[in-house]
Amino acid sequence: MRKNQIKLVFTGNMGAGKTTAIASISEIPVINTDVLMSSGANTDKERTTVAMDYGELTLGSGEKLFLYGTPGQQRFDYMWQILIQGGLGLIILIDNSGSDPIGDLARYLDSFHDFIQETGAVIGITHTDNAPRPDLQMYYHYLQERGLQLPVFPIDARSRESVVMLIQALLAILEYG
Amino acid sequence: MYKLYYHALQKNDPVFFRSMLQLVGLKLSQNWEIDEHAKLILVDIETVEGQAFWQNPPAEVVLIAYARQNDVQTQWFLPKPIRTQSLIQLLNELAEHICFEDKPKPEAYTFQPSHAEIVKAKASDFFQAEYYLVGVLQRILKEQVITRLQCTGFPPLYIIPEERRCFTHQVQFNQINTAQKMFYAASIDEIECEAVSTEQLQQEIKQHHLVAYPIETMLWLSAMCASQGRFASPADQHQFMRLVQWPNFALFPYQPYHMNLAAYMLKNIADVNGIAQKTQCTLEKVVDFTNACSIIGILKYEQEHKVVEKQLPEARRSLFKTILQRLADTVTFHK
Repeated sequence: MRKNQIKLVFTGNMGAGKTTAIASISEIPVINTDVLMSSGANTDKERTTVAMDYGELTLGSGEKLFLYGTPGQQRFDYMWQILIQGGLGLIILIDNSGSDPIGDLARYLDSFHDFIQETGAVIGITHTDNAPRPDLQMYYHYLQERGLQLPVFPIDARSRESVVMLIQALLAILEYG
Repeated sequence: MYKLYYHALQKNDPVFFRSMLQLVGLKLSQNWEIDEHAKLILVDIETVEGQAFWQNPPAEVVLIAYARQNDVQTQWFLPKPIRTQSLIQLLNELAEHICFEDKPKPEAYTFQPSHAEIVKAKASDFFQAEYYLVGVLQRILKEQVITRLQCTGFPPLYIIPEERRCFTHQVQFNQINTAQKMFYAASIDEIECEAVSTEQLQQEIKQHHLVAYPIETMLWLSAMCASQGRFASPADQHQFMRLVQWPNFALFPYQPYHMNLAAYMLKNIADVNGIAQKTQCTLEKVVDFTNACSIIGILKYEQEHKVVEKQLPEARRSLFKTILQRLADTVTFHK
């Protein structure tokens, strides 16, 4: 992995839709290292990503925009710091149907604190159709308590428009925020 | 005292619900009690009885769906099994958003300025929201009357103020045409308002397969379309302002430059001219955006100017532009 790659990093808890989000905008099939879930994980997912997801998009200039997804399970979090090196910014996906979505967000904000300060981040909340709470205001209250002004959007990771919206917001923060 | 009741709860759920309500009492923003005459009713929609009640509720009640999943996509939902945190969140939000006072409700929307006043407002250099659809929506929210809005040649729009939702025919937000813009920019004399009962509304929804939208979506759209680059007041030209929160672009039709405006206004406090200059947007676009943000309550006026100068290398700006262009290739933004 070259350090001067143009890349965006997607992170978030297991089942939040990182692989799906990357697939929705990547022009190549997402390359990942899914394996069968270990029996200890508390989720309905059958497979999870252990190293990373990888997708790409060719820009008009001919350069590639690389899209990386961090592994979902916490025991692989040593990969996170490697993946973010040289990244433009961070897209955090939170599964709202999880047992503690705001706690999950806290964990990612802590883990990527320095990277977010140096670059920027946006937050996409998934599965809000069957888990409407916590609602957006609760996320904003939490961010306010931490002194952060990051955008939070409910999204459908399968929707290209949703993922593009997250990237647009991230680039707007990087340029104007 | 805030009151609620339940319907079609199974087995031990009524007892459990009462116990939970007592248990969470100290963490609630208001006092709550169980009262069989309450207008707020928790319904187990996974039962046949509950489902029937949900479909045909009595007049003037607000229902909370109680189920494992919010399949009915209602705003007020309590997931099974009842947990303290979800109950606290629900009741505090209900206390904040729903008015339970037994005040008499007006029969229908009554604000009717004279024709001359409307003509003057439309020709004005300033945007007076109360003379447009956006103002009608705001007033309905205040008056708490379920209302049907109708403009000649357009499908009706039903407003349910207590739920902060509206129903209409499906709107393709990425394909809003000139005719639809005319509807969202309609002036008060072009809009017919009629109070409707819950039963009528339910019937209309079923018959015409109407789709629910948050009221904020309509407020945003109608403010954007009616504003037409006009300040809401003369003072707005020189006011310093900022955003307190990102607009929820998942609900609002937007163009990419709205993202830039939001990012800039979250970080900086500036007047509209400063904002326009730094974001390379026209003044009219900035004014429309700030008017819409003001309507949905995320714009704040400040006394002092505070701008963080950001020096982004041109190569980086160019890179971002290239990425946005590439992403736009297959996504149509709202024109």
